[in-house]
Amino acid sequence: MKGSLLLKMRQAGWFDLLVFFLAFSLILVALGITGYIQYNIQMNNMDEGLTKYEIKEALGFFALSRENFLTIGLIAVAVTLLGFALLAISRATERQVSQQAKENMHHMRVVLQYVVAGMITLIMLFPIYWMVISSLKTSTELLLPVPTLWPRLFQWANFPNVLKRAPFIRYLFNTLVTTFFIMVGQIIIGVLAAYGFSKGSFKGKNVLFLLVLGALMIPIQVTFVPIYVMVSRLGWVNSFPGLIVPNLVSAYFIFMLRQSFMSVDDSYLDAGRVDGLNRIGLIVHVLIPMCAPTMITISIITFITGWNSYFWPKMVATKDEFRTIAVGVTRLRQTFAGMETANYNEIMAGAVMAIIPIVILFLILQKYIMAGMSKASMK
Amino acid sequence: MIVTNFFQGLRNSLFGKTPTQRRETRTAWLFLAPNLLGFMLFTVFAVGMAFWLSFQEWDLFNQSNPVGLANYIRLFTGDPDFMRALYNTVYFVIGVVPVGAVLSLILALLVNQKIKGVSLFRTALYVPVVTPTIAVGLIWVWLYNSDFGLINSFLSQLGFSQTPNWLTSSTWSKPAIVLTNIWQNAGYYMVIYLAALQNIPDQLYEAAKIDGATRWQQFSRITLPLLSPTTFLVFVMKTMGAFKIFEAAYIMTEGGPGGSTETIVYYIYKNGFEWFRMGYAAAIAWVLFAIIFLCTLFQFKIQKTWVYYE
Repeated sequence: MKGSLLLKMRQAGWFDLLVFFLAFSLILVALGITGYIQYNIQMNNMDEGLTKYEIKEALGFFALSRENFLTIGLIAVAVTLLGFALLAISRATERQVSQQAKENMHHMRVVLQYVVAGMITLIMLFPIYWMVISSLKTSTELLLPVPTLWPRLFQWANFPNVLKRAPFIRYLFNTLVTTFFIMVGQIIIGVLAAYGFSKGSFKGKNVLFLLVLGALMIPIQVTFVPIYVMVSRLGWVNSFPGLIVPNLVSAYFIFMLRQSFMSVDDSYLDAGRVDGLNRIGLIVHVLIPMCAPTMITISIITFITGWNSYFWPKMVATKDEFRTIAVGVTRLRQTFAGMETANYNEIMAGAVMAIIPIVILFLILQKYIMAGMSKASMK
Repeated sequence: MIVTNFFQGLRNSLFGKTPTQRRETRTAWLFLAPNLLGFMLFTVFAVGMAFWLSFQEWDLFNQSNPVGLANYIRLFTGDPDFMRALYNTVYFVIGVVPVGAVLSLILALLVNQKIKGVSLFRTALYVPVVTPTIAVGLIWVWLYNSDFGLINSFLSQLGFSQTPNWLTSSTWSKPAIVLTNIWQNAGYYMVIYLAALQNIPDQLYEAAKIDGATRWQQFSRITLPLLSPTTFLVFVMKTMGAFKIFEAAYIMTEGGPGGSTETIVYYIYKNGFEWFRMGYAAAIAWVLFAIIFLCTLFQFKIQKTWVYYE
């Protein structure tokens, strides 16, 4: 009887959740206890001439909140144990759990799911948060022995200071131009090629397609020396063509688009032909509209890849006039040679400026990226 | 006459017998032309030239000298720096791949729950993926800072009197970069796992519940086996990616301290663009390609033993 009760609990999933919650609250308690002990040790240091205020200052946020950790942790342990008890009682006393109780349990479980998902997401996003608030701190606050989790003083001037140090607007402009033309070029070349590979009929089509796909296998490290040599022979070092042209052809883009074009039934094309569309017309009026989600997805992915690329722009763009934002941020860092730590707030401000446009773009269009990513992985 | 026949035969077999077929072929090639041009230049020609270069000695400015196999021989017999880079890279691959895959799977399970607004969590967890590696590197440099970084400050708050120097210690620099890489890519592989999880039919779990399977049994007997093709894909992709780690090491440690984070790609970069040994750089690149290729091949070979296909 006892065994089957346990089994029922485990099946309901309650048991696992409660165990997790118990573990988490025990960690909180442990944190609280260590914090409490250390706080007292620090308090003893008062003999060494530090004032209470200075100690609290040195301990910062953690000192204040760690006593709270202890309280929260103990409450959490109590709640968890109560949960176990309730679970056992409800299962033991009522064979058939009433509808109401079931619903309550469901609600509590949902709350727990939110708590766990929220916590892990917060931990994962913490580095990004840390970048943003570090970019707003003053140098003094930045170098406190115990960092503050929220800036006491918002120094917005870090951003204009960065703009004075390095031509960030120019970097952003360069990145935008480069990325935009890479995207447009890949779309045009990719659409034409995908049409040829999916709807064209000629001998050796599949062999040729496999060859083009083979390009995906070759790491850029093998080809970049020769490509760099070509670009430099053409006099394209420090120029937009140098940044753009070698990135125009993407096997990935063609592959994805071909898959999508193949899924469009030929009868649509025939109908288009009857309506008097030529091939370009078929692409523009039939294929592209029907494959719009894929088109958007791969275009965004291309844009993000272009925006974030570092290796190639670093080789080709050695002057501020052509540096892209990723290269520009490291350039900004170099201007602080030796004084980096004290000025890390400005470096973080530069990083924020490099990230903001792409993250906003992602947030607006995330629906397409997430859907497209999962579709791509299913193939 | 024979010549004409030959050419006609060639034309017929290559471009089709009827004029319509030939026109069709011509148009198809026309559409493929821009792509093929780029492909010829930046892949076929570049690969050929890289191959040729790997048997040369060339500083990018003067005349190149053919040196035969000397580059490769030196690579394997007389270059401890390369061996170190190889060791570091393998360390990164072993460190990044399994842990990263497990973390991504956990995240995917987390955001596969049927709760309202779960897409918000998915989006949030994907943000590090769209963040440029350069910015990611700079963020973590600050987190790892041995005096003012959040991580060490947190550790010392927990009562550790000795905290690692992370990026300036040759013991901790590698784990530090591994962690950064895992953090940045977790969301990407999470989405791949998520798609696979959503493809598992609910009936299987229903049936298992009726049979009295616990949640852990459901996970280990249903979820994991059905995910194994995805796990295979994730392993292959992550391995390829980890072999090419460069930017993080370049930004965070510049390969240091004492070369402890210098990867193969970093070593290629140094040879090619700091020391202008183009031939040697090309030879290393080929060796890297061969290693990645063999690794992928190996993974494909052993997949039969653990990947479950329906």
